[in-house]
Amino acid sequence: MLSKKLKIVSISLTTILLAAGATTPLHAGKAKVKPTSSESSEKETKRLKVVVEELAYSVDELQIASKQALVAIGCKIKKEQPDFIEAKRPNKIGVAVGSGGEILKINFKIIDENNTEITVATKKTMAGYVGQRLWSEELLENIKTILSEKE
Amino acid sequence: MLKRPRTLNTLIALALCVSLAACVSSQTTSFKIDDRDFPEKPDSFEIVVFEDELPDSEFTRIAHLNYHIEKTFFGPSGLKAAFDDLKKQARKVGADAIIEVKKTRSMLNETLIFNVSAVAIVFEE
Repeated sequence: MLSKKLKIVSISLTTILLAAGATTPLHAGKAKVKPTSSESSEKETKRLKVVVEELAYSVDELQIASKQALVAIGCKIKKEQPDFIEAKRPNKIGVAVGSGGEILKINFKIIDENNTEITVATKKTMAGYVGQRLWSEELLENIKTILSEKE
Repeated sequence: MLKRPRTLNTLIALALCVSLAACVSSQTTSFKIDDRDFPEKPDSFEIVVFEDELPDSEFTRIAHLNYHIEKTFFGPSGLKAAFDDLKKQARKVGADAIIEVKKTRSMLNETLIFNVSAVAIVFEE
């Protein structure tokens, strides 16, 4: 009787921890986010959201604002190039679902000195999928807010 | 009345403690917005915080600082820790003060997201 109860408790705890993303499968880091071409302004599936917008700011201004917006939602910046930023929200354990694990990629395409096209893509990953969010739209809004506050 | 075995109670309590303790995570980030390098300030250096206004003297923005915390249900509010951490980061980048402190709070499922950002500055001589 006791061993049956212990088995049930142990299975439940394992399920909760796995759902919260306590373990990271090997393939989690290999997930790819491919932004859409510049013509489309938005693309959304259950696991991926891409938003594209042309903004009247230089690529340098957008780079700084993007980094600010990324760290403000708890991202760790993994790669940084003049036209590209890749970041990931670390997995966090929660009581039920936890959070984090999303991969975010931002691409910059220079239109001219003061205009840049920005592509923001979020992809959900396997570990902690339930507690993840597609941040692209919110992130782009935050970037625009940061830029407008600086004016 | 049916009594729960002591082992089972202990196991449940232990699992709950581990789970709740693991439900708070914080991260700090800072990145330079000025090409110059400034010497790190000692721990005793008092960083001035300009929360709502800008300093009267001339200054230069040198770095963006960020403190991010995600927690489930219980745990400290994080505001005191956030300011302590921002000041620590400011000393590290050689700042004299911090300005433009911005606090945001949001929810994601069961997780409370709390973020404090600021800009580190140096006063011009």
